[in-house]
Amino acid sequence: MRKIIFTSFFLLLIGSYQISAQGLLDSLDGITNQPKQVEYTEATFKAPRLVNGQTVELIGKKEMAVIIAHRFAPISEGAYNFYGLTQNIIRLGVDYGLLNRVNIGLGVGSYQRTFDGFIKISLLKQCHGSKSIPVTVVLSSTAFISAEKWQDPTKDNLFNSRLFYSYQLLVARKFNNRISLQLTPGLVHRNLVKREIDQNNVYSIAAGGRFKLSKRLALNAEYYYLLPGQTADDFVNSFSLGFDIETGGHIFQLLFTNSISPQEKVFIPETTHKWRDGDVHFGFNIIRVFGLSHAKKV
Amino acid sequence: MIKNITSLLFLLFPLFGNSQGVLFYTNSGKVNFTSDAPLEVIKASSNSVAGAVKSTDRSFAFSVLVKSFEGFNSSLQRTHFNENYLESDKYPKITFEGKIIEDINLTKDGTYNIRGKGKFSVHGVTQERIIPCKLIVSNGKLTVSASFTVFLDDHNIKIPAIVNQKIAEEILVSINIEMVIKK
Repeated sequence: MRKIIFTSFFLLLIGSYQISAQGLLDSLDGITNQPKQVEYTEATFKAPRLVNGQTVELIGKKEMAVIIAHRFAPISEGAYNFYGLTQNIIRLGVDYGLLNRVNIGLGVGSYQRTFDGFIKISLLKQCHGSKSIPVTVVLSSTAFISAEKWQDPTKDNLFNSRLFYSYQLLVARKFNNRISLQLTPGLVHRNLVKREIDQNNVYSIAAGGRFKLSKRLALNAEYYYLLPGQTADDFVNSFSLGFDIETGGHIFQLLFTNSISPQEKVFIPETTHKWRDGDVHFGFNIIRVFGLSHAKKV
Repeated sequence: MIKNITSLLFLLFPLFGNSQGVLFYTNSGKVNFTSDAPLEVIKASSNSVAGAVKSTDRSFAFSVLVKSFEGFNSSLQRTHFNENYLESDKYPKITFEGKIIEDINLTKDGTYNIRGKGKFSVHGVTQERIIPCKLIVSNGKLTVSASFTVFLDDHNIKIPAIVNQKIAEEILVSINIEMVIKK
């Protein structure tokens, strides 16, 4: 009996020794009993634009992103026109973080002298942990005003005829560190169209994605599919490829697209150039984010 | 005889309890860091340092999630911190685990200047570090405070040439961690 007690005593000692020998770091979660937190997915895409279209990426509150977008004439114009590089269409714009989940923006495009203003609202954020949401969902609504001269000034022209709208629901998921995909159903509404048979409402659905090649380089692609209708009969779907190149504060996007302008009102329902004819535009976006509450050195 | 030994065992049990000493812990310690570069100052902090200190063997362990750092000069900068520099998806935690060198009694109230020696791990690279700390024990609370520096190069954190005027090579870190006794 005495032996048994001594053995158990000995075992007890060894037991307590083993407990203390276990790394404190490994048992830290158990000791501190830290509640499971929600971990939001960050950086689904590098920038608020994929190539031409919006992404679910919003800039932070009180931050401003300046976006300079250039689209050159088609490469197929050949050496005589410097492969399109001498002519260009631009859009200058700013995105501003009004709230954590709300961005607003303004832009001016040289194609058809079109001004745009938009609001992007983040409805859902992909996350895991104590709660889990598989996708990020953002609503984007843009209004366009074309400042072109009236084609027929003698006619009774209405201001309303200058207005165009685009509504999109951006649904994206970051599958892993490299791959993110986005589906974008959308509607472009045009108050005035050229012909009676043209659609005032053009529905489209877009698929876009990025594949990160390295920490600072990503390959993007996006395809806007026009749902069957007059527009789909007369125009072609917009397809674009681009690279995101990130340098400290700037993101450079070098891209190839068959659309002439990065404004939804143009590139979704009015794309005419075809990749198969070589009518591809080279272009770039330069995106620079400014924190307006910057702690700079004096 | 058996009776005696049994009673001896019973007597010993509370003794075991004592020999376990006390365990201080927290999950809301504060840590902040500053990158003081010629062109830009970047500050960030986290309020969710998890930690434990054992009085018996004077061992300690601290851990903080890289993603819990807030601050920075823009949310883009925070994204870069997570995506490009600390790579928080691959290396989610910063940890420091080791022992207090000085033979002090943490169950006694007082102020102690000690050195914590152990493995400091950032960005998947572990360095043996000795970090001087000030400990204050009072009323069942342990407060740990310290300042030290971390060289980015020591932890294989590469800064591209284009931003090397904006990010310091040496990051100043300070901690203030208040811990209570685990019951």
